[in-house]
Amino acid sequence: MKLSTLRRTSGLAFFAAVALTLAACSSSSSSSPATPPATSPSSPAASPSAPASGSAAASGGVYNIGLITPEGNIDPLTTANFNTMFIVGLASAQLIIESPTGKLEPQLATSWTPSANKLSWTIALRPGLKFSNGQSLTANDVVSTFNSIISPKSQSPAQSSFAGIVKSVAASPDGQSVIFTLDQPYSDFPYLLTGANTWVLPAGFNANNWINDPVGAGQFILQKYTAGEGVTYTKNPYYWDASAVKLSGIDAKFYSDDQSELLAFQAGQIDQITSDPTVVAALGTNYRQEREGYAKFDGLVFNVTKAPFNSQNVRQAVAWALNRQAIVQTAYSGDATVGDDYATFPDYGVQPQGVPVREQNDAKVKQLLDGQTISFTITTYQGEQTLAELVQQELDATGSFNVKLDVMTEAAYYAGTTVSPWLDAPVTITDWADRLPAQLYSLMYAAGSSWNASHYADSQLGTLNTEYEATTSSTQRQSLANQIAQIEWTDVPVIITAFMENDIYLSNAVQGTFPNGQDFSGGFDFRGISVAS
Amino acid sequence: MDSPLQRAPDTVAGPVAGPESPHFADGVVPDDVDTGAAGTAGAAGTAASTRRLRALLRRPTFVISALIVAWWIAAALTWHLFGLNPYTSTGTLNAPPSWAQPFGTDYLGRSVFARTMAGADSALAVGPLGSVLATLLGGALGVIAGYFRGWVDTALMRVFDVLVVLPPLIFLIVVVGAFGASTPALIVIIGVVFAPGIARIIRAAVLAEMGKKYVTTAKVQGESAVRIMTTELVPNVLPTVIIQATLSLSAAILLTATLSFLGLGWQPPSPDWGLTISENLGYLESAWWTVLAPAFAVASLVVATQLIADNIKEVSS
Repeated sequence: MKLSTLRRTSGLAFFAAVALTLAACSSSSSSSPATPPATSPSSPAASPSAPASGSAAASGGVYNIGLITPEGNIDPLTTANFNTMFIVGLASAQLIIESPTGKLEPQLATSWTPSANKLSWTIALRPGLKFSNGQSLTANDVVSTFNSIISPKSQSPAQSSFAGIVKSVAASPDGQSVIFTLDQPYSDFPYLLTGANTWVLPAGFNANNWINDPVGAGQFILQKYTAGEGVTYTKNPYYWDASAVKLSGIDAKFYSDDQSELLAFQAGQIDQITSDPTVVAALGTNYRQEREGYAKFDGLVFNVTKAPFNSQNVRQAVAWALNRQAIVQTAYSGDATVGDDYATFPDYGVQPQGVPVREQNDAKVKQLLDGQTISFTITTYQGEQTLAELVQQELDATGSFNVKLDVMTEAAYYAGTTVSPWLDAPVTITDWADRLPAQLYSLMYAAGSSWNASHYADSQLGTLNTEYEATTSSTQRQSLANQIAQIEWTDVPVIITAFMENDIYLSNAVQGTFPNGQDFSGGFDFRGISVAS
Repeated sequence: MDSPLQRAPDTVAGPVAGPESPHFADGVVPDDVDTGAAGTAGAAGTAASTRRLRALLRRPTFVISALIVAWWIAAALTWHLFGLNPYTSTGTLNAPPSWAQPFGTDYLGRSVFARTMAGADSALAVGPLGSVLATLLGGALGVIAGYFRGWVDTALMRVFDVLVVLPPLIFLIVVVGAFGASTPALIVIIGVVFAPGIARIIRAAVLAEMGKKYVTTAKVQGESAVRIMTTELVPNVLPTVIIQATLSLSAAILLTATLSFLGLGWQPPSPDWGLTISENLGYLESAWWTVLAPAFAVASLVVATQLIADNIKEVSS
């Protein structure tokens, strides 16, 4: 063979193999056909009525962040994806936010007070609020927003958080407050107002067209959205605490995958990156790390209507077979707290007591299974692949299980509304964001919940949760929390191996400390943050 | 380099009939010629095959390539006999190469050496059978189109024209999305994807043969079309068929690895090379060995099969 032929042949094949290897290293700039075109809303900063404090305090530079390229339309009422929530959250505000320690912080509201019978809550609004277009933000806007969420026709994921709890929403006679009337007493009601999709929008606003007319009351104004490329924001001079916002703007760039985002962070193109095992492995401890509460847990969900998972013994056997400490170290790089199969985040005020911590116990597994070998498939999506592989590895190592994996794309996993892989497969792994225990109960465990992927139902658990939210006695709440956790732990429809912390790596140019978490409950709060030039 | 993915010219692309083909002047069959000349031609063909094999074995690139392919075939068939376990943790995550773990370990502590060896199993599960199917299907249709010509040729070629212009990877992604990525499904899909390209090249080779006297002689003798195609034409275009089969094998291996890389092929925790590259990309900086080993495996197998095809082509011509 001629040398030139050999070179050409080898070169082509080598190129092909290397192309496979490096494909994900490139950041795609392709636009999603489903995303709207670039928009350029008029900036109120240019308005003659814009307050002077906005520009005066905006000397903290432009903060650069990376987001995974969002798909589909961006609607504040219906978005359920972290990246699109980030895009909306920077330009929007809620009534109340939750600090990383679980404490409620005022935002558009200044106070929240229950009625004597605890069947209504009065939320006092901050005086002089304005949207980013200069329009006043009134109680009617809040009422309109929440009516859109709780409407029977609502497509908002937040609807399920308020279903069976909020009966109606109305403005107070003086227009300074909003009154939420409840179906039943609910002590943690203000926490529901920190939930996803509760950003206040102008009354009569078409949320479906938000990306083309991105009005909000957040810290920043969305100036330009370019599909497939990114979003630029400038400081919102009408934000209620504008003087605390030091940044002049935020520049969000879209990346096709985590690896591209990591390379951009290392190259100094973005100022922060969310921690995960690949990031930790690549960055080590050379960067400033900030922890902001808990982000999520990844639940191993059993469909209890399908054999063999209709057997409590089988579900418990799986739970006892897992080495949770190893999962925390391997799947979360240590940035997580070991879970114990009840849905209470470690930062919640009332922590269940008296529930034994499950540690890997092969003898117990064999006893529960009576020597049988259980074969099943775990269905999940690519974002959970590492955890799924680790769970499979640990279960197979016991010799009592023969586990296969079905790892789908995220779109395929969540496809469909009533029939969907994540809702119907025998065993799934699905991530759940930080919520109240009662919220998690109503979404995950309650009979009839459209997100109850385990199809589990227990009337006693429902009664205990209702009693828990109806009482304000700390002693009684502790007792009820213990009983709730014990039932969830014993019946184990969902295994919660770990609660993942919300850790981010920051470039050395970033100054200041984030006051609240970078998630919907923390309000995507950039107050006090600046970037050194 | 010829590839089953490339559009083939309608003219001769492969080696023309060798000297072993019977030639008769002006299409006249002499009375003293044994019209059942298969025995003579067969002996000549065997001798030619031996000459080609010897020529191939004198070529270092062929020998090295054949050894590499043999190595991966052996790995695919025997990895489990050597105590290799590509699924269990060795205890240390992302450990660099060492004497104990020559290729290091991955993000779950699995031996990269064990996974690379075991990955040959899935790499060779689809490619060979898929390329055999593509060769049989494409070869048969190519011979039929070239022999009958006329409307049969026109109809087949227009269908192939449509199929050949479809980007194989995109076509494959769509079909896999619709029918799944099981091993039998992948074999059939690979066969169907590569068959049109092979058919076009075989057809061109058959057209070149059709003008030769031995075909005319066979027709004059009243041999059936099936007999002429199978006993006269196929042996004479066999080198082209072998080259195309080898090239399609190489392309099939790369394509199935690509599918796995995109998450459409083998499921975790399979040690499939494409999947392994995809899984470990995030660790490229911190644990480069987890990507390098499967990438080298894919490259070595693809390059080796391509070089084998190139060597056969050069020796045949």
